[in-house]
Amino acid sequence: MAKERIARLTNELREDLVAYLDGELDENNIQAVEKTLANNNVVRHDLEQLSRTYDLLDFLPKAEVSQEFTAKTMTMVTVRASQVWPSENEWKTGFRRGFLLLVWCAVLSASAYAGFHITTRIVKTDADILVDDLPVIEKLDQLQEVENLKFLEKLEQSDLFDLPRSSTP
Amino acid sequence: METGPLTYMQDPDTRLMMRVKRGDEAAFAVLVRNYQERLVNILFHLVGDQQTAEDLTQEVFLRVYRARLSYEPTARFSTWLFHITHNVAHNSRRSKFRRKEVTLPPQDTGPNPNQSQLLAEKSALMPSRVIDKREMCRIIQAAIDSLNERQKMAVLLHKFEQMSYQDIADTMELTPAAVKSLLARARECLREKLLPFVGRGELPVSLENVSEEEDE
Repeated sequence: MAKERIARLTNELREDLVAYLDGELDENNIQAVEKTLANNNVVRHDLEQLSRTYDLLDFLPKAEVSQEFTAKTMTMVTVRASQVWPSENEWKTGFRRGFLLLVWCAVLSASAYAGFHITTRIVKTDADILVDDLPVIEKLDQLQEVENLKFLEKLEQSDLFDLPRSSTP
Repeated sequence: METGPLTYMQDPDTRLMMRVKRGDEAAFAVLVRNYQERLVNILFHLVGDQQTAEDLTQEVFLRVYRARLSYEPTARFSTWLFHITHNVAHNSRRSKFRRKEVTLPPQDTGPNPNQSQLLAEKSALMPSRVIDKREMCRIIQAAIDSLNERQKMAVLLHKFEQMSYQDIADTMELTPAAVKSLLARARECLREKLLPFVGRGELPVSLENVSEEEDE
């Protein structure tokens, strides 16, 4: 039953209820929330529960520090702050960051290198197309005279010109 | 309302920090004394260990001291100090996770499931019996620990430092609307965890009576 009541409140209303408890709402929203509270038992009940459970945090123990803590802190701070070289932990942190940076640079470089070579193999430039078509381009004038490839094949198969038969067209 | 360095100079702690900037170490000692317990308290509830909290507090003061020469009053001193505290706590948690001292990864949303189970077990066992003060504190601490890192920090700053939503936003580098949403979710989680222990409008434990018995 409690879960059904909770499900009816919107997130916006729930946020406004908490902000209302914390004194963080502007005047317009305060009036809207108070109007809702006046007319809705469920919302009033939720508000009370939010307030009471939050007040329990007042029972949390307060951590205390020893009387020597200030002196110890001042000593530690002045010693560490005057160090020329970073502490061991700072060295380790710096080394780890530097190593990670190197690894990233290596990965990026390798990716760029691989990408470049893959692209050059797949994507043909205009020059590549011309090189592939060079056998045709060299004999373009003769081929333009042929008009009919089937006729050319028949001529090759006939013995009229006594030419060696080639397997390639 | 316009804010600027002159506005923040009205803050006594900001003025102390400006003296530290000019080389006044006695002013720095005053700041340490003024804030040490507050920082240890916040960090204790974040990390769960007194010694670690003290170590981290010293780390915070070390960072403040190292930054003294470049310090500019662009916010209240306490906002700046707790911003450093938030970063130190976050880095500490990240380092612990890397060293696998923490079994669960930090989540940005949602509660800590292990703590939720612990609270569920406790609430099933003790709906009606009296709970002593120490156990109540443990229950409340477990409820706090069930929050995620950001929710926990926002609640601690709001509850223990009485920070406004704007101040919490400045400390945690969020917008006030995000803080409002964060605190609402946190308070809802706390309500779910602690409601069984509040009972039917009354606390199941009379802490005043228990403290009187302890005094005797």
